[in-house]
Amino acid sequence: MAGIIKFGGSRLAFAVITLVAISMVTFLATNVVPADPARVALGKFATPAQIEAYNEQQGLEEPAVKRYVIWVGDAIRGDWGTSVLSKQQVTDMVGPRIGRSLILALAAMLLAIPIAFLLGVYTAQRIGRPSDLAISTVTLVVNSLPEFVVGIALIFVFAVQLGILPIESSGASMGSGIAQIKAYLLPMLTLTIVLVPYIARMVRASVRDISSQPFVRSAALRGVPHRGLVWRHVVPNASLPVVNVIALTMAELIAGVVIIETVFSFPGIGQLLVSSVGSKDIPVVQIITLVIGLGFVVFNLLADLAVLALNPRLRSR
Amino acid sequence: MTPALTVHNLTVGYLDRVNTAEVNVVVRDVSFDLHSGRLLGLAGESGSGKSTAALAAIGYKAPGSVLISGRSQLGDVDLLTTSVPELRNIWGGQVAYVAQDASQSLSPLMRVERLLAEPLRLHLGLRGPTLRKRTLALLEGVGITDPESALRRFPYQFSGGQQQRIALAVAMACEPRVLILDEPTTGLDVTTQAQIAKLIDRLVKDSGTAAILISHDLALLGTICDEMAIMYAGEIVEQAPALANKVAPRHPYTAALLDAVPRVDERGLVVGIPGLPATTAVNDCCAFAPRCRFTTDTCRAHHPELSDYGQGHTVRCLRSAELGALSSQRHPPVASVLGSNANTLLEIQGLVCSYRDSHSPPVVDHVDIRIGGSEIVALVGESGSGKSTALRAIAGLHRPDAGEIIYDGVPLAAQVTKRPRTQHRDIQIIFQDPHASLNPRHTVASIIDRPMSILFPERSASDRRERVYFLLDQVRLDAKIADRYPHQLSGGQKQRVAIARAFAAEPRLLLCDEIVSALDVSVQASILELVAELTSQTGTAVLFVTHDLAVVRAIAERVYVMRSGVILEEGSTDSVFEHPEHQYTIDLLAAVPRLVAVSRD
Repeated sequence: MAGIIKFGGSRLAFAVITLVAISMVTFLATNVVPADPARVALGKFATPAQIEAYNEQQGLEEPAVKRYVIWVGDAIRGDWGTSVLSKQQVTDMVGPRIGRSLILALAAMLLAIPIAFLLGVYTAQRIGRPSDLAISTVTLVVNSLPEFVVGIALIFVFAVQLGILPIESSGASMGSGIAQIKAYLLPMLTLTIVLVPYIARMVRASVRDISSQPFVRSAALRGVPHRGLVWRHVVPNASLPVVNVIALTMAELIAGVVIIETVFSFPGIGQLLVSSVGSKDIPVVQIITLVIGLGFVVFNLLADLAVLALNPRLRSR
Repeated sequence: MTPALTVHNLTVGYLDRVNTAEVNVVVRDVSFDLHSGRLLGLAGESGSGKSTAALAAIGYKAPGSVLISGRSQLGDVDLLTTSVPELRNIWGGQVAYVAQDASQSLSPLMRVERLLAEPLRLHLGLRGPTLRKRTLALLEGVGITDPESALRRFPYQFSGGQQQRIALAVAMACEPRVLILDEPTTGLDVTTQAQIAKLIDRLVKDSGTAAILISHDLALLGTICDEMAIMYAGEIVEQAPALANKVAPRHPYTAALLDAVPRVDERGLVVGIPGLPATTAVNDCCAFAPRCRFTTDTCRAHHPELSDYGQGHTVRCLRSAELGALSSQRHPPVASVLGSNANTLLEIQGLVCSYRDSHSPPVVDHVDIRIGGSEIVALVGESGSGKSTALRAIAGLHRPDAGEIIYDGVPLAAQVTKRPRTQHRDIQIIFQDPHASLNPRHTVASIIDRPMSILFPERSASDRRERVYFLLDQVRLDAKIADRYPHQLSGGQKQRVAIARAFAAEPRLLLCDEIVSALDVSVQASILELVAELTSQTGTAVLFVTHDLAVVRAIAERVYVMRSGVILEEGSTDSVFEHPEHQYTIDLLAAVPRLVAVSRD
């Protein structure tokens, strides 16, 4: 038990440190961007006096350290400032989008993990046979395609040719229930297809590795039927290293979300991030970057806890 | 009485790795009977086909293996013609298997309760309270204290010996008629080994199961088996009732193996078997002919069949009738003449070592060791005794917390990097696993040359090259292997290269860390012979760290017995082994199985 607390505690401390570092980098990066926030907010024809007044009102003349501390404090309290461009509260702009992006990412992950396990376990038992070669080749090809290619291919098939799903996903924020669900399907499917190959290959390698362990032979010689051998003795042990890999694919997933949302005009934080960077809407960019960083840290923490839950050896250490 | 399992003319091959159309025969014409309540010992060096034969006998086909012929009759069923789905009803039920290393053979993510319950559910259909009662009884039967809490734990939470007890409980769960024990005591400490052997003996006698015990430890087999079979190159070359104990060997291989086994109860150096074991079966000559001291032209031209000498004693040797019972070739005990020990080469005083990050007591606790000028001194202890840490401290690989290491009158620096070159030259170390201690990207020649190029920079390349060949010859390796890489060599050859490398530095003190424990008995014997011979020629002193008491008896003049970081007893090997004083030494010696001296008349 002490081991769990120690392990969990160190991971938590590490997560907090990572978050602080992310916030600092975000703050620095957005402050050295060659854009004067006052100019962006007031337009080309603002007078120097107006700009000075704006800067004073926004506290932009304070030293950077003080501004950073105020910014972090406000962000934690939930005061995310106002958009320079639309004058809206950032909270109102970003808040609902976080939920949609999260649903999109989680749904893709929840779909991808079982598919990847089934494919990996299936191919690991047929290594070198035609079915394994076929699946491995296809997954390798898909793995090497960029997300937007997969997305466009799916749009072509399901939206253009079959016409059963919408070509773009702005409907995810409005319209009837069914229209909303339909708007989620294509981006979700694209993300799933992007995620599956890598995880499936890891599962295949890990299952193959574990299958040659002496305890699997011992179990077979205890009369354990093939299915029990695979799902009770091999897969639980093979999944330990895979969980860590899944945590690492989170980075790919988040980058994927940003691209996919743009491809499908999906109203999530990725799409807003891209448009805000374009319009130099610094407060929005800052908050979204922070939220993405938080998501990444939390997912990794969850993966660590999952490994802890799956591996009794780590728990007692 | 009909045997529980009758194996007849079993022949098994492996698909050739390069040319998959070819099959290398690794088990040839093996026949044996297993009787209820009796234990058959199956001995032989690694690669002799003993595990393959035993697994094939219960219908298990290893990946890449091919069953060529044979029958294995369990009651009315021939296991070799039974399909795998049907075999699954037999495996774990009527036939059980125990693997070498229990920590590797019990599924690591399953609690003991699930491990025990699995065969009981599958084969006996037990559920609920009956199932639980049975699992508790099984754990009690193998001597696990507090079975209630043991059920809730994972295998890794037990010691090696306890894990093997649990593995035995799982195997005995459905009261099998046949039990295959594949090196169940290998890798365990001497005392644990003795306990597990006793448990196996009791389980077999009590349950009336027919068991086969595979081991390379002839003494162990001799103590608990009713019958023994010796395998060489995939064939049984000799089979007899409790061979080593009661009957003199008739096959030259058996006799040679017995001479190669170090004994705790007999002084004198072991005798190695020249050459390398054959790895595949041979059918146009005697497989042992190239290594046998009785070989004639007939042996090289004809394949021997088994001849029967009555009372279940069969021998596969063309000359067995004329040679009769074979006598030992072991060196007669020699008086301790190896060098004078009056002058002290190494003196350790109050050595204390511990590992950082642990609040447990030090692993080496105020140890004093003295090594004379050209003495062979053994440091013996079970795993965790701190013997290897002490050796590493002398080598400068572990920084001691306290104590002095005085070499040739000068205190040694704690770290090897702080020691002068002359000391590097003088103190050399050989490790247990030559596979890990030789750089896989260097050739044998450059491995042996390396210490010379560093320690004797004044020597020319051609001088060094000459010396590499001299050293190869000294360690009995062919000059041809100079340009090979370690992975192309056998384990014994690799250890010879490691020895040559150590002697390339012309050391005055050689530190040996379990250098023979990963090797087969015949190879082990020749390595021991080699070390004894080289050190007596060069006058090099040796500190020999080992867990094997018999090896100590074979090579060392003096011995230190260590437990939990403390030296419990020291003295000349003969006096410690013949009149042990500390209770721990007495217990250790009692735990070692003896090869009862074979009658020599």
